[in-house]
Amino acid sequence: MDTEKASEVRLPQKRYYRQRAHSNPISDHSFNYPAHPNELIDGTAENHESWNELYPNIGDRKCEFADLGCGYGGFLISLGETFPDKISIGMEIRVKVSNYVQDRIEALRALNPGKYNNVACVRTNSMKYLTNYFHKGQLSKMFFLYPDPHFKKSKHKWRIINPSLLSEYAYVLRKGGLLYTVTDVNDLHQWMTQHLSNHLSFERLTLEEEKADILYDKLLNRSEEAQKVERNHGEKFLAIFKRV
Amino acid sequence: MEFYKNYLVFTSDYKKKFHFLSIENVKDNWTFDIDWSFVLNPKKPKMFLESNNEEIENKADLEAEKESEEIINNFTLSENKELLAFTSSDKSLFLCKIDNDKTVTILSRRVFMRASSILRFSCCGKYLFLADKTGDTFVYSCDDEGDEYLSSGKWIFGHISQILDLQIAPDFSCIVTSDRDEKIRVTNYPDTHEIEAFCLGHKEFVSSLTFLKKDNIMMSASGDKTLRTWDYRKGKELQKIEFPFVPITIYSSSIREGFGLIAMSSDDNKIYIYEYKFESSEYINLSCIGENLYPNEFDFNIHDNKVFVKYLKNEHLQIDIFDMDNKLFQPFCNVSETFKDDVEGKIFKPFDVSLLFKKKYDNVKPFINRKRARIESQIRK
Ligand SMILES: C[S@@+](CC[C@H](N)C(=O)[O-])C[C@H]1O[C@@H](n2cnc3c(N)ncnc32)[C@H](O)[C@@H]1O
Repeated sequence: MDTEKASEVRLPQKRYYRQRAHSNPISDHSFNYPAHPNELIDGTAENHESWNELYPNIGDRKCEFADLGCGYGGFLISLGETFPDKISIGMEIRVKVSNYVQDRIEALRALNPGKYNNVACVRTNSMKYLTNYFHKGQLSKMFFLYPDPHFKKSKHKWRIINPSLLSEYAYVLRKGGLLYTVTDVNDLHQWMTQHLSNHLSFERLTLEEEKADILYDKLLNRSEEAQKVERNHGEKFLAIFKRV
Repeated sequence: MEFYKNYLVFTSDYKKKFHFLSIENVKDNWTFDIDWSFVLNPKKPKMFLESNNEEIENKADLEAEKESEEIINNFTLSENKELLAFTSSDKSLFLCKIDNDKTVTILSRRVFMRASSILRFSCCGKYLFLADKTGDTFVYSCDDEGDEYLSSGKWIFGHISQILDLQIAPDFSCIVTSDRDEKIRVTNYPDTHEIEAFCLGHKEFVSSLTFLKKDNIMMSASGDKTLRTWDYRKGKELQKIEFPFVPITIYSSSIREGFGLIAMSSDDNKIYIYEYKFESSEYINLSCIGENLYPNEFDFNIHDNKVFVKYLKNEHLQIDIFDMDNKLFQPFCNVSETFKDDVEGKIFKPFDVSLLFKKKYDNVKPFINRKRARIESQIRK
């Protein structure tokens, strides 16, 4: 991984990493991904870091939190700060954006020795390769923050929350684990909560339980997309579902 | 190629008819001529949450397609062998009953949405599963109580990839699907919202699945030039067998406890036959047929300890049998002559498996190179 190495360590500048917002998650891009989750443990994945390489001193801990479509990584980093003992991963499909997050984490680690070793970002299409990374029931939290809305009906299949994928999310989430969604698009919120409510493996938390979640404020404020919505005075819709 | 009792069932005459041919006596044969004017129920299958069953909007399109142009795409027979189902090129799904007097009655003709890739019956033929090229799987009821067998299909699960095979486990506890993204998914049945396991490890598309029934082992064939065996409920790979060619379609049968017979087609246009010993995972190549197999017309399957292969031989369709008893291929039936089919000029383009390999293009390296150049120039300044 290369860093922005001038004379001293600096945080990467976003202007060098901008990329067109929407990519088609169904088309055939090239990705390097493990053929089996075991390959991340024993370091045999072709052209892909192992868990050990992604997280210095991971020890025998397992990655338990996943931020799917993590964008520029603001929430992911704040997640790592909130849960210093837990291992979190961000997955992002865009080359430049995921590279920005990787450089950002590397710079944070250099500036704060001993910290930020529990967060990392990989470039992947999580809609296709999620189960290549995680064993059944490995995750305890999954985040879908401000996902691309894909408004057209013909593109609903591209939505990161869709009925086909919910069964896969239920597969990688352990029983009792939580799935978080936040969006500023009410239509999408309706669609996501409707599909999640209809799925027999998920149950929505009550409003009180949602508000009591330690991450509640961070979900609404910490990611770059959340801040953009904030600047535009947009509404935000949040839902938390439990894997049953 | 499938089986109905002691009959081989296959399509012929430009995929417009079904031929039934006794495996004991080639003189005992009959043909099912499809009535292409059978009325279509145009109700679209239910997708996700859409509750209103829309009708196909452009019915005119359907009718515009000339009847005579329609051909059979996929077909399957139910385990109890009374039902025959097939899809045709106009995206309709036919359900038929095979009567004892060697006639076939069409029960229903329903619509599906996108090019179909696989069709299978559940146990005792109560349901039909149809997997399409975009990765969605639908269930169609075949129940003859009420008029369920006329009702439209329902979406049950999907892959974000093209589904290449769908098989139902011998104990009916799960549906196993394989896709172009190297994945094998084991879905609980009837609780299809639950995924039991993924069988991962293949490095290319997984084109075919088969269950070695007596021993409850699943075998898969992949573009990575391997066959693998699985403890599929656990998603655990048991064995990997490597080949110098790409195995495409596999069939298997248990010949005796602990031994399987495997027939497999390959991208070098041959059919290979193996005996497989489970305990030691040894396999022995028994035979291979392929000197003059045209990939477009060949078809095969296993029945007990015999492998039937249909192929184009000197301008006529021919079926040969491989028999475990003498371990040889022998001519069985000249199909074109027996059924008076004209094969000339009616050759199909074979499905090109090479299309299933993904084109690799690297969009990371160019970015990293540009970035390196930028950083270097900044340092120089
Ligand atoms: C609107 S952004 C939100 C980013 C971030 N969660 C935030 O709140 O700032 C959605 C992100 O999801 C990414 N994305 C879309 N589809 C994806 C996929 N299939 N796999 C991984 N990332 C994906 C996009 O590239 C984009 O960065």
